Amino acid sequence: MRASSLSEADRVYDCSDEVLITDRVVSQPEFDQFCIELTRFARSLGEYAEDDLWRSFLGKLRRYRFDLCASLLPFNHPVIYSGETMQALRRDLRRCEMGFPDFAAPARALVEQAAVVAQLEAEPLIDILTTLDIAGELAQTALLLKETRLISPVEEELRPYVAPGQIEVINASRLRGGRCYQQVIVVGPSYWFRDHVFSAPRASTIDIVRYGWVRDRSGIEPVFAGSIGARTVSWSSIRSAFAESGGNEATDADRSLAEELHPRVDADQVVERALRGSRENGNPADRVDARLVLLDGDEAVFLDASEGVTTYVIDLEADPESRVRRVGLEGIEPDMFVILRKYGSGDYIVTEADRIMGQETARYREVQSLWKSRLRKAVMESSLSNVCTRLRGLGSGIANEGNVRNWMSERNIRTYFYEDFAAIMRLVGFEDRSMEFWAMMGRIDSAHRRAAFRISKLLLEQVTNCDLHELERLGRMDFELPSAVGGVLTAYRVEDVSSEMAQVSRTRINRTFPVGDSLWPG
Amino acid sequence: METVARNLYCSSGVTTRPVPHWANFYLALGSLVARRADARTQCVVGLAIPTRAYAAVLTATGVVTTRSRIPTRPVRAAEYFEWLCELPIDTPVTVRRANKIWKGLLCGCRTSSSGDLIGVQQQSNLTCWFPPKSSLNIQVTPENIRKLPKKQKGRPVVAVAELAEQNRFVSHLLPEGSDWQEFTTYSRLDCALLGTMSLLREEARETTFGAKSPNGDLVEGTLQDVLRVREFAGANQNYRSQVFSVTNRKLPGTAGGLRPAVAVFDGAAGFLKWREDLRKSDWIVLLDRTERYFDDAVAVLHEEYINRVDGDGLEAPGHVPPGVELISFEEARG
Repeated sequence: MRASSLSEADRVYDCSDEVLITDRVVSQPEFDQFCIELTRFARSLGEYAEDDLWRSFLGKLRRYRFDLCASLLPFNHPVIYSGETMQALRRDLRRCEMGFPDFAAPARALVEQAAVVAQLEAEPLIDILTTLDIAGELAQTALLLKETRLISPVEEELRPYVAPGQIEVINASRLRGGRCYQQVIVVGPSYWFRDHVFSAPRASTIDIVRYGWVRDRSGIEPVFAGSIGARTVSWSSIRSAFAESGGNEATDADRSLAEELHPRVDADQVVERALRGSRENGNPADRVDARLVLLDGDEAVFLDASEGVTTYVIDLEADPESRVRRVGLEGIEPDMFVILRKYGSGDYIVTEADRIMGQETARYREVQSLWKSRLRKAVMESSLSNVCTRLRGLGSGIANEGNVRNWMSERNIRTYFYEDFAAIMRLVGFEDRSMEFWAMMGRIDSAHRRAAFRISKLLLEQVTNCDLHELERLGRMDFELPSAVGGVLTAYRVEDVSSEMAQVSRTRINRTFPVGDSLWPG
Repeated sequence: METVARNLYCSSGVTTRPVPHWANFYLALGSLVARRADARTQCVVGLAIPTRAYAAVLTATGVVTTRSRIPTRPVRAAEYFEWLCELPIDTPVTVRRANKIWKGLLCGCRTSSSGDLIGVQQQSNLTCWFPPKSSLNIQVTPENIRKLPKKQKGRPVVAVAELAEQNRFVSHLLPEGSDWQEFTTYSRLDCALLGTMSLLREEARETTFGAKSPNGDLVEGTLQDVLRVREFAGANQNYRSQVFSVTNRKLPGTAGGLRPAVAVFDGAAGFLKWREDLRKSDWIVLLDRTERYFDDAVAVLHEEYINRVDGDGLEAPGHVPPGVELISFEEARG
């Protein structure tokens, strides 16, 4: 959302003019040592690091390291570290020791180091804030985090130390509009954040606070080669006053690159992992084409990619009248918010459509389910291509594998043309009731349209009345519709959409799941 | 152009101040591109900016005010008559006659014993024929006229004094050499803006600016008064620019099938989507560093840069504001 007044725009240009960026390097010897050893160890594993055993083991350690760097929370903060984490780590360790005895000793040493770090009584975030000159006025200082899931724990951590509203904990999307601060404290290396945080600053003072064992850049190059007005945005680096020099200084080779630390999410790899083991099993006729959508907060969801299937999105960059709309999967883009049911799976439009159809629902749905199950059975007993050929022989003009898969899907109601529907009815033994069933499916279709219209209206009202800055800041938000309609719906920010199509069981569609350690590839 | 920059003020209704430097920069940039006269090449100006707020509407204002010096139609009646004769049959027009304005459709030319005539069908059963000397009373209209009524009464012509009162802001803002009466009476697509309709509407219509009259009074108005965006004005209003929403699936045809002299892309989305449709126009591409497709659009601009023709591009219009980077080059016309 861009600046909405000339004075807001003025302030944005003033920030670009005045900005002073300082790179503040902090240190904690035991943690630094642990991080360096983790990097060394992962490199020493070479190709073995790709093994599932090591991926799981390293993933947990890397996540612990990343969360500490990305939040500066205490080393044993319950959101980052718990007894269960350590137990799971020790279980992984035992498996690794059996499979890779040569690496057992350094792996065990790493786990012990992690345990030592977790015992440290330090509060890095509070320490750094005390060294910075924080503005006394309300809402003039922002603490910028890479991960929205860490915003709430950090806010809780700050609560005893700062006045309410004195420091706003934000993610980078908050720095895209007209809102400007006196000071932005960036937690983590600059590489983790898009260039605009520094090249189109929303504060006159920016402090980058990062651990010294992470290698970072010292400026941002101009966007266009040979452009007019180009200037390199650069910053000086200073060691924080409370930084202690560890006994084991890292060399450049030991330091991790900031981009290595940040989990580069490979959506296709997440798909591969999520579906591992399920491909060989299950009914092929029960699968639908889907794509994985990665969501803010380490979650993901498979969305149906069948033709005509749409999902509600909130697009904060769109005109108000089209801010809430239904789009096909190809229209879903990063930074949009997809709206899903908070509890359970299923399509909220179906629930509302059923309510609209009233007492006829059961009969219509039974018929819908009946002919689809018979069509699926026909596919299972022969093959998709065989069914396509037979349908074409029975009068269908457009029967192909994609369309037949779509017609089998519960989310599809009926065919577009009656001739295709009649061919299916002939195939599944309902030829004499073809017209009757076509009319029933028409009523379901009509109820779905009415349901979609009603939900759009309700959602638009909710979105219009909600605090969109909070949605932007937290990356997700619940919308409570009347329970008869859909109950609680959640808007999740989209991080990425997988490029590969996957065949996914119907039961997994629209159901969010944690991505977990897959984000930290070995 | 200098008149606009010098005479445009931010007005809050209570206080008045000259527009800030960054705003002047965008006005000057639009003016610079509009002044460019090389029809053989297409001018491309790409900018990385810290916020898109007001950048597009100010740039377009620079374009429109500068191009206001260029008459919309031939000044001499004979030339104008020939120009009208070349327009397609059924082109919607208005005819000014007896202090009234009548709708009509062009229906071609013919030669009579008294000379050449151009016909305008004014009612389903009435076609009037005009000699060259009266052709200046015929004006092409943006109104979409498909069918004429059986009878029309005509609407009264707005008196010049009333028109002047309505357009005081514009008249003080246009540069020397512009005819404010022609500017407010005749349509031409000088500038297309491609961006988010609601934001552009708000910036063009809801923000009050001021212009000083020769005696020092401040006359308030909005940039819409100058931009005359077709989509933000009434159906029968004359226009100088059009806005296209980036959420449209395809780019609608521009009014009258004309190509805009300058296309101002307000953000990456419109540029990535529709640049190929606007190859005949000069481009000003405003890329907000914070927006979703910034990197993609920069990559496309770099590809365009590789295809540039020899030439230095435009000089920056004065001091480039902080946070703004500008690249300028020329390409062969599409």
